[in-house]
Amino acid sequence: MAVTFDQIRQLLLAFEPDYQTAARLGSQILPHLRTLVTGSDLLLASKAAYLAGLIDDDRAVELLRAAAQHLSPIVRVAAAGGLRNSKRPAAAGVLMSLLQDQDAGVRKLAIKSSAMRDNSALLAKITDISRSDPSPALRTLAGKAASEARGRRTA
Amino acid sequence: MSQFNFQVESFEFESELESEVNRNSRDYIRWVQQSLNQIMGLKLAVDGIMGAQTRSAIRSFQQRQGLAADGIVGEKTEAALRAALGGPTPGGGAAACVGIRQPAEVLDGFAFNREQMPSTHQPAIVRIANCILASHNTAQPIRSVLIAGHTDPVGGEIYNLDLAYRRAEDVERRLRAALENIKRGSASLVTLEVDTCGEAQPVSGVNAQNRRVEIFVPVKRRPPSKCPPYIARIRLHVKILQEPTVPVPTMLAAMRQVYGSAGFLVELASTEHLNLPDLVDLDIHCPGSATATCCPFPCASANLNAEVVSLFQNRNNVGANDVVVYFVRTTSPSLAGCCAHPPGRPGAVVVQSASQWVMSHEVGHVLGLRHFTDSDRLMHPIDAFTNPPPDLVPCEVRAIDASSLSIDC
Repeated sequence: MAVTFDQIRQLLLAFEPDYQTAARLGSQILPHLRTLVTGSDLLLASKAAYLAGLIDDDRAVELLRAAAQHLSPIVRVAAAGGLRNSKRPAAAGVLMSLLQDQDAGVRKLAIKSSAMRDNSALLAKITDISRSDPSPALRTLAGKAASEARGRRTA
Repeated sequence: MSQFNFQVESFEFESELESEVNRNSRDYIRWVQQSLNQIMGLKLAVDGIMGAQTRSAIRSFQQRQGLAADGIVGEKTEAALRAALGGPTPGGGAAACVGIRQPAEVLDGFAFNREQMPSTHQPAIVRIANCILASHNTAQPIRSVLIAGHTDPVGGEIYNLDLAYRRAEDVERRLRAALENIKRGSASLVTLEVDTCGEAQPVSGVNAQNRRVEIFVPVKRRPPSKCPPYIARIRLHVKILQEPTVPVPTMLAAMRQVYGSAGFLVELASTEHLNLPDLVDLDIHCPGSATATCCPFPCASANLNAEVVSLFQNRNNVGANDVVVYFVRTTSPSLAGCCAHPPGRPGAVVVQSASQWVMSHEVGHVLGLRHFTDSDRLMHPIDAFTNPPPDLVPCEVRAIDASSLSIDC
């Protein structure tokens, strides 16, 4: 049975949405999520972006790519956080761009999400951040994340 | 917004009936235990048994009062207890109300999915009926009693609302019958208000204890409010990492609309701007988990990640029973707010793009309120209310009143 835009909007209007349940609706909701990501309500846009990360579909990654280019860092942070859940290889490219975002909060979530992927390019970028990011806290976070990722690889 | 006018009325006996006080009765001992708990902040079991702990507490009280510390409640000790309580006495007419627990007599252990009150509670029903009728010979008779039904969390929310109501109705029928049995026609002198809390107010992890009916019999004087018309206040501290789109004063005004009409003064105790760029986009995933979100209810949790714990360490100027709201830019996952907080540091997080109701809703969780699928109520899980401002219903008002975070004015 088709899920309507209003149903998705209602799900995401929850103060604390149940993302796991919403994600079970699958890729059919991606067009609705795209509408929300490009809409004027930043909270709904960020929730839609995060939810997209839980849907195992390349079109969801494309939606996250759009969210990663959003003018508002609120939505870009959500994209960076949502990408931790995406299993799609293409997600690595989106994360790479978010690791270079001008906003420190976006980079923080991108580092955390990147650290969960076994990807050499992302690992190299995190290592680079650990040496050169203007934020001391992010340098520390990236250093720790890179170290843990390397540990997992050698284990 | 709907209106309700329930209040636990102030009450005390001003005259006494002719009966003698039996200091060995279980009801009397219950009064002693209850009084010691109230005066000395103890947690004695109110079981009507004069055990070692009760004796020891009596001795401590007697020592504190300069009385002979013999562990026996005689006239002098009773008078000292009365004076320390500053309220109802256990003697005479009030003796009929001794042992009735405050704020509510709890009748628990209802059978699963059954509305019939266990017969073991019948003596309590008779005791309450006697108390009510005894009060009618005083200057402040009990004219209204609230009976609220509860269920365990098993089953659907709507079904449980109905089941809890039927339980309350069953108790109401029995109390009415007990009143009539003691004095014909007396039930018509008392309003027995029946309410349902459904599964929303669990008191225990043991389901049988949650399957209960609470009877609110106003036999105790409530300390006069120092902030009428409010009954208590909630002290709020706002700590801003990121200024919200809806201004804090607007959110505060919305919160005062909701809580004020329910009898709670919302006091803004302090506002502080925190320069914590590392926490402005707060990760609220569970520690060590890739996907699980740690935004539980009840909100106090030891299973929170280092970022959340670090944020809630910022409690400058905050009292133990004060609530802190931290305004951040975002959370990951994206939520409007989250009430999770380390034990002993009550507070919530609200994001930059939150609506005017989010602070009220999250503080509601902190005060012990859980979600409810009625779109006219504050604790509706969806930020879309049919008739704003949203309501707090009597069950929720009582829960807030019972919370250590609603404090005297």
